[in-house]
Parts: sequence; structure tokens; C-alpha cells
Amino acid sequence: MNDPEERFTELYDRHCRDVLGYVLLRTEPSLAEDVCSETFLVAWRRIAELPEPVLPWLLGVARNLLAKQRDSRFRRQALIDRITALSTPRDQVAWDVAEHVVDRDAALAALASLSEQDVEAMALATWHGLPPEQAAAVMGCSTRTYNVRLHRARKRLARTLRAEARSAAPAAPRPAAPRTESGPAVPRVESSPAAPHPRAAARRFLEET
Amino acid sequence: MSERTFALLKPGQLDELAEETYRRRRSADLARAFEALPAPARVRRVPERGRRPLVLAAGAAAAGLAAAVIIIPGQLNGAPGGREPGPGVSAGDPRSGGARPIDAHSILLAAAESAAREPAGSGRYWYTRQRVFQRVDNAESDYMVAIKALAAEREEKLKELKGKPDELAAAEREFERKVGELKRKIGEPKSAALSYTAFLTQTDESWRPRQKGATGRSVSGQDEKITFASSGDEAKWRQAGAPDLGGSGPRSYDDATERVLSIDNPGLNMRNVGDLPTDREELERKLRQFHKARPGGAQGDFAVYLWQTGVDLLSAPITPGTKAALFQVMADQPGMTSPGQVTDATGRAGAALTATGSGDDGERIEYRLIVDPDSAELLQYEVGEAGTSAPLLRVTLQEAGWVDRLGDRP
Repeated sequence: MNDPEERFTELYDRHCRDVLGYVLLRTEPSLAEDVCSETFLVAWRRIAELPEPVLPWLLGVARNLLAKQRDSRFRRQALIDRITALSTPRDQVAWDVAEHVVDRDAALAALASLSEQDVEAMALATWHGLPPEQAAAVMGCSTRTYNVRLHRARKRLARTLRAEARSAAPAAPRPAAPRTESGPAVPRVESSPAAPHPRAAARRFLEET
Repeated sequence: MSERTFALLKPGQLDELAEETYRRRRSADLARAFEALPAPARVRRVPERGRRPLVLAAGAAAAGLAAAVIIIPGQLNGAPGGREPGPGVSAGDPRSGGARPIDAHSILLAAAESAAREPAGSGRYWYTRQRVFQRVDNAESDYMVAIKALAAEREEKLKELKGKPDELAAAEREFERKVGELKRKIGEPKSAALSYTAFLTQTDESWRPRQKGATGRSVSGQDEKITFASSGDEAKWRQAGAPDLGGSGPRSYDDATERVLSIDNPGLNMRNVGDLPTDREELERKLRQFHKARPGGAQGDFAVYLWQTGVDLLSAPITPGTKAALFQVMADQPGMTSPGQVTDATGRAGAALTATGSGDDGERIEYRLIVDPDSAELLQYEVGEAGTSAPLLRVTLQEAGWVDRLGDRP
């Protein structure tokens, strides 16, 4: 129990996937892996003084390492690009099955219009499942500030989605999320399936699997 | 609505990707970490050389009351410790014909009384001189040869790989890994590297400036002496080629880096250590706060923390009031016993106090103090494995006090 190696291994096994899940959405995979390794190396050096719960601390370390790596020009777009790059036809299917009022690309475009901090506030709560005080620790702000940010982000997203829904109503699929010229490359995985009628594709997919 | 929409934007592939990456990287990541510098928890809690400066203002020995409390002939409860005293420590006080202190509690309370009568000093530098005796865990020369070879290898590589940043970075990582490996081997407690038991004794002096940013001085390695636990150990050392065991002569450094006053209490420095409470309860409350907040977290019991912090504080310029309160706090701790009256390595008589605690590897560590209750001075402290007579470290506090100039002695 008191053996630092044992404690570290346990920590790694418990949280490595969480840290990867966080960094993979913020930088391309090879760099994400390096940032994750580096994060745990920092944890090893501090093994005697890690706070509990440790996950927000780990994500905070990863976040700082990412901040050092990334050019600030890319930040705003980075998360959307990562989502796009990591998306597969299955995501599109799940989306279509859920019968959203806007299509997935439009939702991503809505997300891209929010500030990075707003998106991160929502991601920590919804995707990474952190309670407000832990999410605040990752972002390095007070719980109060975090709650305000989260509330604001949700409101903004809802407003943008409504606007997207209105403008998308008459037309067929919207173009993919807009890309700034400084934004990194083309997504590696097609973000939408080739089928012209996504819902039909979804049904077919469900029948096949 | 937006909440559910947002939740669905998380790519489903993410978890699989994380899982796959985790499995692929796990062993390399763990190995890489373990090869890095040892985590702080692995560092032995045994005080390092130079870590603990010492105590003792020139003692206005207050006779009378304190001694009367302590020396009560015939009032001994059981055997005096049941253990062979370490080298330089002789059980029994030659002056008092077998008189024994009644218990650790009374000794510390007597020291508290004496402390309260000492005048507070002042000056620009806190001077200390101590005689340090410690077990040699590795042959210094072997380490130096290995580290110099690594450094030379690195220099070569740097020249060779000029203009190739990726390969250079890989070479630097490799160098860091090798140094980590070497340090880890060297840093291991009871390094198996040596087949004999040897000790290095030397005198260290230091001048710590009170003012932040001022230059201080430390002089180490004076009057060095290598000794062996037995003639058999010395013979084994000769068989091993009589390697250099670290006695490399006096070294003096002047620098403005502020030295840590107490590793467990990073918030303490030369400017605020004199402001610690002088009331017993307030001081204990403060120390318990420090104990909870210390870098190592909540692990480790308060008694062991108090022993280490006590030694740090008794070596530092705390006020007589704080010193008295500290002795009172220590007196109230269970588990501290007194094996009797002893003399320190330089022949000064004092009362011995011992406490045992767990080391980082679960071994029993014994802490031994020699306190002069009449002058409230800490004369010597030792750290050793319980049940063995020779300590891993012994520091005899020879002199301490304020001076106004670097190089001056009180």
C-alpha cells in the first residue's frame, strides 16, 4: 500500500483513460499520448503529495502541458477539429437516431461559435463527468466562476442551436462546420456518411448490427 | 435540450481510442516513470547531511530547579532502555553515581523551564557548527566516475547530433533515464553496493542570513575521518581496492540561495521562525496544522513529525518562549522514553530521550536525542535502525548563535 510504485500503478490504471479522453479531444493523437505520459511523469514525481480527488489535478496538469504545446491561434478551433477528426459514421447514426432538430455538423458549427472556455466548461461536466468543484479545479478558477461559465455556455449553445434549427429548416444538410484558414488540416475520418438520407442509413446500420 | 445535444457530440470512438492507447502505452509509461528521479516518498525520511543545522546558544547554564527534578537516585522504573548504547554514548552519569532521571516527560519540562530563562539574541547571520557522523552508503568515487562518464557521453552526443533536434531530444531523454537509474541505485537505502560498514565524520559550519536574498556561507568537510564498524569491515574495504568514501576535504560555498529550514515545514524561514507561538497550546495547534499541510500529506504520525520538526526548530533561532513551549509539547507526547543520563560524542553530559517510528520501508527507526535540561540545549541527535547500536546519522551540535558578519563566530 505504501509502496510508491504500487500506488503509482494503481493511479495510472485508474485514470489513464480519463486523461487520454481529455487530451485526445484537445490535440492530435500522437501529441495527446505524449502529453498523457508527461502528465503521469509529473504525478510520479509528486506521488507523495497528490491531492484527493486526484483526477482534477491530473487534468489540470495535462491542460497546462497542452497550453504550452499549442499555438493560441488554434485553440478556439481545436476542439471542434478534434471532434470532427474523431467522429465516425457511427456517431452520425447515433445522432440521426436521436432525432435532433439540427444535423450534427450544424451542432458542431454552433459549438464552434462558443469560446473555448465555454466549451471546456460543458465538456468537463457532460463528457468527463466532473462535479463543478472538480471541473473548477481543472480550469483553475473558483467553483462560482465555473458555475457561471457553465450556465452561460449552455444558454449560448441553446440559443445558437435554435438559430441553426431555424435557418436549417427548409434546406437539406448544412455544410460542414466552417474552418478557419489557420485551422489544422482536414479531418482524417469522414464526418458524415455518404448516404444521402442519413436516417435511412441509420436504420440500415441498426438492422445490420 | 442543448445538454443532450452536447452529450451526443462526444465522438463514440473516443473511449475505444483511449482504451487502446492505454493498453499500448501502459508498460512503457510505467517504466519511464520508475526510471525517472525517485519520487519524494522514496527519499528516506532520515535527515540528510547538512539538512539539520543545530542548536545551542552559548549556554548560560541554569543550575538548581531543573537538575533537582531530574536526578532522583533510585527512582528508576525498570532497565534503562534495554539496549546497548551507540558509540560515543555511555549509559549512566559518571558525576551522579548512578542517579537517573525519572522520565522523559520531566526532562523535557525541566528543559522548558530552563529555556524560558534564556535571553533572546539577535544578529544578521545565524551561525551553527556541528559534527556529523553518518554511515557511508556508497563509495563516492564510484558514483562520481559513473556520473562523469555519463556527462562525457552526453557531450559527445550533443556535438554529433547538432542540427538534428529529434535525435537530440531522444538522446537527452536517454541521458536523463541513465542518470535517474544511477541515482536510484545510489539512493536506495542500505545500498547493497558496499560489503562493509563504514562511517564518515566531519564538521560543518554555516552562516544563514536573516535577510532574504543576502549571501550566506556553508563550509563542509572539515576534519574528516573515515571509521569502520570493525576491523573486519576495514579489511573488506581494503579488499575492495580501498575506494574513496567521500572524504574530499573542506569545501566552502557562498551563495544567496535560501536553504530550507525544515523540510516538513516549507513555510518556515529565517524571518518568521522567531514568530512562532510561545504558548504551549498555541504552538501545538500550529504544529498540528503544519503536520496536516506538509508536503508529504497526512501520512506519518504526529510523534515522528514532532521529533523531526523539534530537531529543526531547536537548531534554528526560535525565541526562548517558543523553545520552552516546544519542550512542553514534546513532553506531552506518548512514546518518548528516557534510557538515562548519557554523554554525547564530545563528552558533554545530558539526558537521553528516544522515540521509535516507522521508516518508509516499514523498518523501525529509532530517534535519540540528548538534551541538557539545565541549559535547554539539544546536544546531539541520532537516527538509527531500532535494535542496532551504530546510528545511520548522528549530529552533535557544537555551537550556535547570532553573528553580524560572515565568517564570525559567536
